[in-house]
Amino acid sequence: MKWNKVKTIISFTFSDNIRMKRTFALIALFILLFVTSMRFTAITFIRQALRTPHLRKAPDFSLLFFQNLLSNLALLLPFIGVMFGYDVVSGERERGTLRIILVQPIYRDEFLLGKFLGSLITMIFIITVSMSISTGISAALYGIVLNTSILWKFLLVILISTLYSTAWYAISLLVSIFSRRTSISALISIAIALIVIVIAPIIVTTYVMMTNPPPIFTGSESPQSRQSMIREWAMKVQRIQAQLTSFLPDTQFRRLIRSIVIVKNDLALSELILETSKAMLQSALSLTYIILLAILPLIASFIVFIKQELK
Amino acid sequence: MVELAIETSNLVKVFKSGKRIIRAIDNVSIKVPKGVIFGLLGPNGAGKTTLLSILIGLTLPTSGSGKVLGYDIIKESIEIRKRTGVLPENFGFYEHLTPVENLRLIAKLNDIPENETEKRIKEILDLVGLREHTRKRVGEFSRGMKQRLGLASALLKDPELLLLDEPTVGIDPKGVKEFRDLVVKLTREGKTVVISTHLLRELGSLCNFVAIIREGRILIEGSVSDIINRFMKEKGFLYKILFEGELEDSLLQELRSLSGVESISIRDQELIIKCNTDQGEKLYETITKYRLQLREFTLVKPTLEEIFLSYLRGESS
Repeated sequence: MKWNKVKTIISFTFSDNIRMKRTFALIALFILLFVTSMRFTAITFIRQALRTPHLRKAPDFSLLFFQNLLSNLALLLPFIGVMFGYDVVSGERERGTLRIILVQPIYRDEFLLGKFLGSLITMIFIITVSMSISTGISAALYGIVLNTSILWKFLLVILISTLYSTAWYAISLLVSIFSRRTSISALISIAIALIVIVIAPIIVTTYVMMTNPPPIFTGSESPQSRQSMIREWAMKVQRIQAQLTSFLPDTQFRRLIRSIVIVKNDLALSELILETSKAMLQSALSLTYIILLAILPLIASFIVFIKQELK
Repeated sequence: MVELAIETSNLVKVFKSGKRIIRAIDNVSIKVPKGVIFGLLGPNGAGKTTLLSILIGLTLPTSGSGKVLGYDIIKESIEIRKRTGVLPENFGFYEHLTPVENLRLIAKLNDIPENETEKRIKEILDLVGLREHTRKRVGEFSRGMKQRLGLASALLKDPELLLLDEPTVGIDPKGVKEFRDLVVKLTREGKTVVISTHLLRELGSLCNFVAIIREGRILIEGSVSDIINRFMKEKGFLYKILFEGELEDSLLQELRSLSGVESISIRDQELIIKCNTDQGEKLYETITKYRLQLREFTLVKPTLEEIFLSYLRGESS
């Protein structure tokens, strides 16, 4: 493998992606979504504070900030991956540019690696820029202090987010290698993302609710026992739901981010690094899951693309 | 001994489409000497593109072997592509970029030094007649202009060998003429040009070596003159004689009695004689012996197109 060929494809892919409208549309969408949802988070926070006046300390607003960030990331990251993956090979094939590139002295793995790394840099750029702007706006609007702790967590969230986006990119890349047409590749990739992120949780919730209906009161129960019955039912439903959705990438990603975010903020940097490392180790299964989700389709993509017939 | 640019031996390519097995290339053995214009002629779907793809390593053969510029088509395809300019069929360029930006990418992939790239791009765009369109985006180009840019991308690395798949599709007649002139110029510089086409009228006469391919099989291969001679030996030699004055019966009888003469037809002042061997000299001698005044005496050679069609119809073996 010649690194200069890979570099050529990386820089070409990155500069090509940066010129695309979709890059800026994604950044704009992320910021808009984040700032809008941050407003609702702030309202929830105020209501929460009003409802719990007996608390000695006000709830941690930075935690809510990260929770809000997590919701937006969980929704947008798969689509960032899909957006840059669905036409990597099918698009080049459809436009005929794949033909003109592969008749040059370049190996297919050099081409695909260049494409992948170029897209990876683009995704890092989009995630970093949109998260930085969103955080900046939030900090200015809601007075979040950007201390070392938040910045360190912010950096880790960027890394994990890039990994999660890469997983979706790799899945779409594999689809694009098999698809003859870009439209079909886009359709399949979006369908997979929608099924995994939106439809599967709905199905799970519906199934859990149908198989575990809420308790029916006879009228003879005391208010305390009714409350405990409802609590027991809610906990059971939540437990089953968590078990059933644990195989979804979305759940693993949320679990991983949450484990980092809940680490205390008022720690020295060295302690913070140690604590976040411990938190990540505790979520090692989730991390491994996301890494495998990125690597396996990527390896499959390379194998299929190298062996694929190109008349 | 003739130096060969391409040499293949019993190349076979089998594609599986569901339960169907398609033999796209069937025992193809060809020899392309260096410095010639080689025409790979055949109808659509004959296997021309697959054969070219195998030659540059885009597709691996199911069996058989081959060498291009002395490099093995299976193990050394990168070396082949370093030295070969390829104009593939149904290619495309990045439409949002200018031709110069597209060619810069091709130059980088071919390790052309950066200080030479711009000069080379200018020269090539000049050569293919796109110098005035460097500021346009490729998306604004006509089909013919894109085809010229494709040719420019193939020529950019100054290759020893050019493989051009249907190079004149979409080019207007003026463009075709310019393309033909360019190919002749390139072969004068010592380059070998392989043209795969079904457009015989446009490019057939340009080639000095050809191979006719149908259903993955090479039906005939060799120099154009050799192929014409072989075809005439198989189909017969046709002489067209235009004369003045009266045609004597005795002359006709003597012509009919000559060995090898198959048929004679007369129409006004024209005599068409078909022979199974080359009887030109004997016919001429006999006619002049009878003092018939000749206006024309020609051996009617079949065109490459006629030979091509005859092979495709299965009339020739």
